[in-house]
Amino acid sequence: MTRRKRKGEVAQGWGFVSPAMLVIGIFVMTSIVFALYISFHKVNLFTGYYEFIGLENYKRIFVDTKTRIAFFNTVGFVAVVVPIQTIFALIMASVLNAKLRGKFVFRTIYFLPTLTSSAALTMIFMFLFSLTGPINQLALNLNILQEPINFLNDPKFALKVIMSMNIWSTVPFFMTIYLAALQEVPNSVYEAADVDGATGFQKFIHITVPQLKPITTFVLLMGIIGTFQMFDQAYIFSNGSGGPENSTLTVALQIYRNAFGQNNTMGFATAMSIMLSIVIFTVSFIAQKLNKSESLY
Amino acid sequence: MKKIFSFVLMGLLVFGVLTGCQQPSQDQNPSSNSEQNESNQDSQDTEDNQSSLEGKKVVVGRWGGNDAETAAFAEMLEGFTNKTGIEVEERIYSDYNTELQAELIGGTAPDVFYVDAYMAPFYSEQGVLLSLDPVEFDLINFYDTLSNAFKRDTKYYAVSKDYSTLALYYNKKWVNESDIPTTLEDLWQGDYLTTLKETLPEGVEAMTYNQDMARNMYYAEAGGASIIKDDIYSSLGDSQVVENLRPLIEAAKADKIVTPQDLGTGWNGDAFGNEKTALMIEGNWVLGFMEQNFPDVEYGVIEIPTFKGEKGTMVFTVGYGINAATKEVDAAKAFVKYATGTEGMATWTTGAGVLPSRIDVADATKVEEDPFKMPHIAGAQYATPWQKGTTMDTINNEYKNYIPSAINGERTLEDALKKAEDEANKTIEANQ
Repeated sequence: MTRRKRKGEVAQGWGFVSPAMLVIGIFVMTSIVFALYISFHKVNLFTGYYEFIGLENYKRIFVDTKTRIAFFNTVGFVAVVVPIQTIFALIMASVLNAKLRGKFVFRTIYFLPTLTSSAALTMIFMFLFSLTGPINQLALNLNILQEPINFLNDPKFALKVIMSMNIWSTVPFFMTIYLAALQEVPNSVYEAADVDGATGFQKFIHITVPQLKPITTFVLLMGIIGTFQMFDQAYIFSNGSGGPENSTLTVALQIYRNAFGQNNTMGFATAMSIMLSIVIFTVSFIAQKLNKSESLY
Repeated sequence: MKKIFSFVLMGLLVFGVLTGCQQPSQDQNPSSNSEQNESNQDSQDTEDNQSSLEGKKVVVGRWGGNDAETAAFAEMLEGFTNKTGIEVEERIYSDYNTELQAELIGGTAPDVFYVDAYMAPFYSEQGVLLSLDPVEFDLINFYDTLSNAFKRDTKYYAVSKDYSTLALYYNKKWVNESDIPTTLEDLWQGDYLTTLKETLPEGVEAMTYNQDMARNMYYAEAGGASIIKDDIYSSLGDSQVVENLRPLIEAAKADKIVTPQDLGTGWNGDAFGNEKTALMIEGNWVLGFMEQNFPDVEYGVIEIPTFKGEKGTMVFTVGYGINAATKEVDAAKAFVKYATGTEGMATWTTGAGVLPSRIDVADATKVEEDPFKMPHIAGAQYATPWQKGTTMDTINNEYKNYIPSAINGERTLEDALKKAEDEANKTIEANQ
């Protein structure tokens, strides 16, 4: 009887996951397998031309100068954005977790950028940073600058504008996650620290940060994945060209440029996306290992 | 009881997913087979026998437009269905070329779809467009520049539905038409823009421009120069091209002209409508935009000043192409013939406020009497089409990429263009 009951439960379990498995299988798994297949071929999907060329597409990734530029841009982007957004999110969360008056209002206001679409945000930032825009005007009026800076058309600044926008718009999201996690930190630990005469800063460094480590791992992973795949902001910012001087060319944009439009190099594009996922996987793995929560107590 | 219920629920879920996947194909298979049979029969019938096409359906793919365009398109469809009895299903795309390419590969693309002249060489090379007979589609009545924009070797792959050209717009509040220099050399190299700027209020620039081959090609190629060599490779570094682009770049370096992005606006029309610039070179699509958003701005339109003693402008055209894999060849041809015929084109162009590609329709609809459109129509005679092979995307991309460095002085113009050429050719070569 019990065995039959177990069997029934197993069947029921499989039955419940099968709809999701089916959908994921068709729309995700087969696509990944097919992309892997394409990446070893020179393909023309319009005419159905497939020629097996082994690792040629992968080799091209390492000799292609544009791809190298795209890779370094993306790595730079990740290296700047991820730490800053994580630290800012943590600090803001702990500030908003304190007994402030009107903290709910602040929480709502801070969360707004996350709700806005990144396409709209990009347009707003392009306006803010334009030659005659508010940022330049403010800096001129305060005598910080003698001459307006062409943020959008100067390779030295273009990616930094996107970085600042990305940090500004993702911090609130991670802040919310930290805020939720902060509710779980036992109050008794803080009270014990108070008894020992710890300052607010000491409490933050020695209690809040270690307690939130598992969440930090999650935030880092999400940040790394999101920033490595940055596409829309660079696309809108440069009108799809990755300019000026390739300064906003990201790997995802380079993949798009090779897959669609007049370039019919789907094989190379899929090879790049597979390399990108390997890179993301490796970096995430390292980040997770580095941040591994040692014994908390 | 609970268990039975959950089993039923699970069964429903699985069933729902399975049928959800299957249903369309079940529905489609028999009907598409019968359609194929019918169309086979049709082609045996006489071709112009329209009654045999009655009750057929064609799918037309296009991108969305403004309200006037949507209304004009619907009106044209109604006229077509009334005349031929063929039903039309519209399919509107937002990211047009990406979505259309996916559908062409998947075999679900529409029977007839918009083809931008710029993308025409790419699509015809992939063999997804049906070649069209110039006599059958009456191409003799079209402007040559427009019908040739869809020509590859000796065959035509789409029929132009309308077009746009660039012209010079000036704000009447600040600019006298008679003061505007008659050559681009004078305009950019002379003092006109500098003296004009002194008379303008604070925050208003004399002129905007674009760093885009789609806007710069007619003077880049002036005097027989070419930005392309050996059919596919970039030759932006060519000394003649460099000299042709120099007046523009020098003017930009001297801050006589600025980009709309410098002014914090998305495009020329925005900057001009908001009165942040006194002059701009823009296409006739800006006319509807001005009427809708800035009806109070008084402006005039003239042909673009000559360059190297010759008139020049860009022409952008979009045509109807027929999917090579369509099962409704005759119905699709009937649609293209109607939409690009005298009747359909008149409905579309007058309703949408665009320029007719047929000379006879231009005469019949008296579009030339519109003083705003006249300079644009005049341009159709001598314009350079924005279409130059299958690698223009890469070439223009590198141009946009490196031209800012020539303007901010980091590179010389020769350097920047040479770099743009080399980078483009590297990519083109690797893609072969």
